[in-house]
Amino acid sequence: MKLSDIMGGLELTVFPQVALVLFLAIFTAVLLKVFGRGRRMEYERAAALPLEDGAIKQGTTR
Amino acid sequence: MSVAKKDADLEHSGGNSGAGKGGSGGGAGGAVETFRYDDSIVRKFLTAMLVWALVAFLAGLIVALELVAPRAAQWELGGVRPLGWLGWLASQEWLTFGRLRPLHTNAAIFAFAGNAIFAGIYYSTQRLCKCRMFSDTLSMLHFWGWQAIIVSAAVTLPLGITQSKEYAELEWPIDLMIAVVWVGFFGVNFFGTLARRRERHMYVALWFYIATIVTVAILHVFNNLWLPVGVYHFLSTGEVMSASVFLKSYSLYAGVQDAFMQWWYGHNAVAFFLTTPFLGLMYYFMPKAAERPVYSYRLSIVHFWTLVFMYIWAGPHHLHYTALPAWASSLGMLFSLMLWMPSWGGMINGLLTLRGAWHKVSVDPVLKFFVVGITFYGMSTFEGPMLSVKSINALTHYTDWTIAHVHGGALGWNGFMAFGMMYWLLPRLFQTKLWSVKLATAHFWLGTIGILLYVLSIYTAGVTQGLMWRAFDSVGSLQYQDFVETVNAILPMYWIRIIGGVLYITGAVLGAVNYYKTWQTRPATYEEPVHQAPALARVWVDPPLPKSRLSANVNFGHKGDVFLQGAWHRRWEGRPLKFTVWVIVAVGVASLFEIIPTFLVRSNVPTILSVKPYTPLELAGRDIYVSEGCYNCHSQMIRPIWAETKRYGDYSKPGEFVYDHPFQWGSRRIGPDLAREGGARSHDWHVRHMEDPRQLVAQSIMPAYKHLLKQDLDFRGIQARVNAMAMLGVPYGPVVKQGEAERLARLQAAKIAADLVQQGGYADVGGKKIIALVAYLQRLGADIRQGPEWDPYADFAPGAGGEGRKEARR
Repeated sequence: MKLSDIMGGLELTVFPQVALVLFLAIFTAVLLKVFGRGRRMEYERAAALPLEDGAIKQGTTR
Repeated sequence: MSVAKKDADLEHSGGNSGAGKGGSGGGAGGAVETFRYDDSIVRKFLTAMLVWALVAFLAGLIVALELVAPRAAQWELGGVRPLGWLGWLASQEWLTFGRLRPLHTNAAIFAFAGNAIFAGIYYSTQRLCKCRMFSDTLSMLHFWGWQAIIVSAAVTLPLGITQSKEYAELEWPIDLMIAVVWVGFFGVNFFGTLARRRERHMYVALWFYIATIVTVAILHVFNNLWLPVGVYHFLSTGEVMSASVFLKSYSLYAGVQDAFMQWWYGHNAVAFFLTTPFLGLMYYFMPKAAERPVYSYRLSIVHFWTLVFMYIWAGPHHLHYTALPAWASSLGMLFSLMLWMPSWGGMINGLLTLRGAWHKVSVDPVLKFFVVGITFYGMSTFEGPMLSVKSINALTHYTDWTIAHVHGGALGWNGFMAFGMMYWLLPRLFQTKLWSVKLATAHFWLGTIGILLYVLSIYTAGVTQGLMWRAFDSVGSLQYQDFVETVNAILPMYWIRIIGGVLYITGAVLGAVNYYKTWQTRPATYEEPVHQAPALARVWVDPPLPKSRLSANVNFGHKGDVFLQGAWHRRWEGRPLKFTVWVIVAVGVASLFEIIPTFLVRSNVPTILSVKPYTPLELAGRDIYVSEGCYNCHSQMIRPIWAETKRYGDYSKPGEFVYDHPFQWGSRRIGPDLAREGGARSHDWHVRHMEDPRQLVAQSIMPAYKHLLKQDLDFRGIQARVNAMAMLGVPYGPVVKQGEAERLARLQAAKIAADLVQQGGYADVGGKKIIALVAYLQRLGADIRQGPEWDPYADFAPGAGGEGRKEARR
């Protein structure tokens, strides 16, 4: 029996469904995370990073 | 806005202190260091971007003209043919649509957009990392290596040297160059810069760049797993074949799997070459131009992770109703629909960055380009999910709608973001004023009107043709039986497209003039401002995790609350390696979950006993079909839709393509489907049709392939082709014996040549390429009508395929 026969018999059709659920869960987690009780201050500093260099004055934050 | 200040903005090295409390930006523990940014590499990439933009647009204009040229050349006005010269375009071997269209797409994607990405990345990465690029030598190798790749593409594609996989046409030696330049030069240079950065927090633009570099590398490698025909033959026999055999390669995958890999690649090339890097540019240059931070940094995080996790799944929506398993195509549709939301989140984030600054849009051409560019991102990412809905796709697939969709994206999103960035960079890179704001504004308006003319006319063409294909009359026959009628109906739209294209190119020419004039006013030597920032501490201590805010709860609840406060993501953001690993995990897991079942589930590709390998001559003909780029206009995939089976015959089955390395399903029907072409017409019809299609179909817009009737077929090289196929698992049996493939090919060619004469055809084409092509066309889709034990060699050398031909292959 070849390896491909064994792999072929593994009923892998369930893979995509598993992955779909997995990925949706991760998506939800990221969403909750980011919009949850984060630290506004840090995000504001991070958002200002591009404005730091040289020419343009430090941008105002919201 | 002044140009780069001479003195370093010391405030920012200490600027880390502002976030010291929060933790993500801190860690400035080392001594203060001085450094300069390398802007000369940015100037190089930006110049290359503009040059290749003009080339790509011009190639686009030429292929657009080629579609109207054969008919336009026939127009008569008072006995003369004013556009007769256009006929020349449709009869040149190196300029046929099939060969030039890949040149146009490759130039637009990899040359124009590619150089734009590199310019933007090299400019912004240095500044976001407060660090010069890792190695100036690598920067130079990257630049010149990439230009060399583009030039070799521009040479090989018109010569018909192609793998025929869309946007991955380049043959194996160039693929190797791409891998070296992308990973070895660009990748090492970029990650080296990240490692040396003096700013702990990696700004969101950098994440998008990381995802781009990593994912494009993965996509490129796995879609380009091939066996070089000539090299394999040399290694196994020591015999040296012709240059065309040497440059030829076969995809390791066949049929359904090859299609699946190709569109996994193809869609993600759009995602990770034309979307994520440009989003990175948007997140950097939009705040710069608007002079305010991005609307919501949180939204940008969500935008990033959802794109990385979801895009990779969407590829199968390119294969709805094909022989691809239904579950895979449903999954592709579902993820495509989900992608709509994060994409629009990103669009909104980009546009709302202008909050309170909308008045600037009316005076600043940079913002004009960005606003329309981002709007086109929104339109394309709405349209994409919509087109991936199966019932809509049934109408739009194979039509011009797809073409309009990609041009909305390419001209609107990529083009306008690139040009907006160019106008923002010009005064800074050349340390002068932009030569003419008016000219830039004129560029913007010409471009915008050009895009609208292009996409609106081509949408109309797509829907019109799609509806005509499926229209039927009161007695249940197809209303437009002749395919060419449906082409004829949309030719006026093709003319409008040409006008739109000319406007867009004119805009780009104005941009080039502006560029040149600005460059002329540059200072004698560029100032190189010195910047200062403290090095990052070698040992980085994460700030302590926040305490749980819950009081009455079990331990698990406390842990959950700590997690929900999100310090873990902020820690990641400071760690390029971990970050990169997670991107690879996201992309890799998604790919494997989708790809493994397609490759391993037997029921996905049921065997059909009567489907046999191509004969040596047919295989050589197939390679000519590939080389001429026939797939650019002809599909080989009949969908199980009434109008299609009525027009073309029985729908295509997955098992029919098991010997197709690579697959030739195509993506657009400018001409009719050819999946069941075998046996439908005489040899003579095919020869005369290839010589000049208008001899047989007066309204045809197909180019003439006279050269196929003149050029000799390389019979000797066929053995190498057969042996390479056998190596990939095609059961050729005794045909792999040295000299056997050539013998059989000559026998079959003689038989076809004799039949041709009998049909009243040409007598002098026996050893020419056309014979091989006819042999292949006559075999297309014919196997399924045979019995399981039939012999493809019966006509000219019965039994020559030996027992091997009976081997069933899954």
